[in-house]
Amino acid sequence: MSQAAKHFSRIYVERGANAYPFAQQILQRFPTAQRVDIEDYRDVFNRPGQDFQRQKQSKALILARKKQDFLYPANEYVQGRDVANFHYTTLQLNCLYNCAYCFLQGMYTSANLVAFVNLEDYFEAAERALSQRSNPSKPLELAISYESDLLASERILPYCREWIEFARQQPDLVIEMRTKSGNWAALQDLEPHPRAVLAWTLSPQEIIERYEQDTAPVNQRLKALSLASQAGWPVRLCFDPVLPNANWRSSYRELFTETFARIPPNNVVDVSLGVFRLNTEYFNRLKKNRPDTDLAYRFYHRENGVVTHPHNEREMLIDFARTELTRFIPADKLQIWT
Amino acid sequence: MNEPDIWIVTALSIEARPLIDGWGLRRMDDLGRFERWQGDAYGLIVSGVGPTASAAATAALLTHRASLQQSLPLVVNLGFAGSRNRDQAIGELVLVNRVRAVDAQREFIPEILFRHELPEGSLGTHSRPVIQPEPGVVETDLVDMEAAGFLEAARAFLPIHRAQVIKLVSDHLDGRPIDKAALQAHLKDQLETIELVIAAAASMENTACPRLDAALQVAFDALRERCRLTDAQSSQVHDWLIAAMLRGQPTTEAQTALEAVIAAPPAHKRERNALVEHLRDALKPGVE
Repeated sequence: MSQAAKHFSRIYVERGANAYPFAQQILQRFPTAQRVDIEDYRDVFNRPGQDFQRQKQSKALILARKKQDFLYPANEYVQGRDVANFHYTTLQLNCLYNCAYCFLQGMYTSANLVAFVNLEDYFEAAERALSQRSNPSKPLELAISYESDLLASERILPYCREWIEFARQQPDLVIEMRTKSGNWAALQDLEPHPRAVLAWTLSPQEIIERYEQDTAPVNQRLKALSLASQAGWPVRLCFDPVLPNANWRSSYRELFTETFARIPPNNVVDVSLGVFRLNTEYFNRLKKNRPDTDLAYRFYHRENGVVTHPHNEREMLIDFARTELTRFIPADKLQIWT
Repeated sequence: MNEPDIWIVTALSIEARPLIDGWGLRRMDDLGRFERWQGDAYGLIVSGVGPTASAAATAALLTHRASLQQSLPLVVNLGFAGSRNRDQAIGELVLVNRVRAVDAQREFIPEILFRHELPEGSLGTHSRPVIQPEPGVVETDLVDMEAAGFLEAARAFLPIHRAQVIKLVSDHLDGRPIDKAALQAHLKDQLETIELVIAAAASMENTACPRLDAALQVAFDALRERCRLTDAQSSQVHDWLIAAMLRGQPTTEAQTALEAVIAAPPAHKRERNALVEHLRDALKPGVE
């Protein structure tokens, strides 16, 4: 029997974080967890010598207070860079899942989950950003689960719910929550909100089994997005990264067909498409943190600080997916990231 | 002969004695000035008192270990600690989950990834004995003189989950003399509990990098030498072989591809580069 501790059987609480109502809500869900009071979340999260994959088997929760940089503007590495007034925010660092290609394992030295509990400060920052946005004729678009999968952990860290309620009071705010979960149940009691976009990343089941450890099977994701759409929530589809395994063409063709059989194309806000691409530094760290995946050892090109497929492979992957997807949706609904 | 993979670092001989007797450890050559004891499952080193002594002994031990090219050990700082909490009985064992280096104002958070039954607590490492402290001087549950030094040294050599701190409550910081014989008896009585916790900690091994199987490694080494691959090419081909292995491609396929190249080694650079490309196609490290 494994002697690994259960997930979240250990909760680190940064000095001052305890006072926030959101922290109290979370702590109440883990009455038997070992609580360790710490000065600063970085004393735990940034420790040298952590074993990322070991921690993934026994994740700790770290409750912390975000002190600055509540919202980030788009930059050249961020999806959304071409969208007016785009920002993203990091409410949580890391996620429950363990995808082999995830940039987070290159970005962080720890697999533990940091939850920032001072939501009030984030809301204030969002209100400031709304009033100061560069293009006031367009809404502020805010990706709230950029470095995490918030819906996956909604039962224990109810961020989505809090943000949806906040967004209802802000007529010029559009929020996006991206997920690989099938956890529709966590939100189904809420009234749909036209400016809260639920985005599902979809992959063929064989890709999920090989590279998206602990995530929901594709059928559960499709069921969740179909129910959300039927309930009136705007939904976005993400096929990113398209991974070229054996029989990838037929796998993705089947996935696209199945997806649009479950959700009418008109109900989709847009579709995001991309290939494997990672900042070189993150890739090198991923290789160290995730030595058990063939994705870390494939033949890639390094261009302008990015590790990705060689140009001809990228073209092949994107051309194929674009051609197949435009059988269901108009080309102008397709956002391509390479 | 392999050395044990579990090492205990104690400050004092009186802390070490119940472990030496209980585990039947034999005296080995000292490491520098540090007494070293060893059995089949456990080794032990006596550091002397203070964070610097503990760091020096731990560093000496782990430098020695590194030279043996064995698997990474688990090291445990085990010893006495004062408690400011009178609810913690003398003789109680505590697994330490936070260590404050009081003089340096630094925090060390041991990585406890395993299940265990011990109570946990925080500990402050002081460089001088703490006796009847003024209120507010001690902010942690326990007080000792070694753990921070031990952890600082261990972290220079090991992943953080391979270093743990277990303390036995020796006094309540009230200035009363400690009963050494009673404390040794407590350690002896709880040896089984200590072993269980250590076994759980030791079972948390490191994430290992995948390795080529022996036959493929031989073929790869031959390829590198016969074809005079550059370091970059060697690293690429090695990566592709690992990728093929992780994808479940039969090893024999990869081996056949390598052996075909070894049988007709390239005569010049251009031919060598072409062979590497040929290998890339054969091992399919890109789009399948």
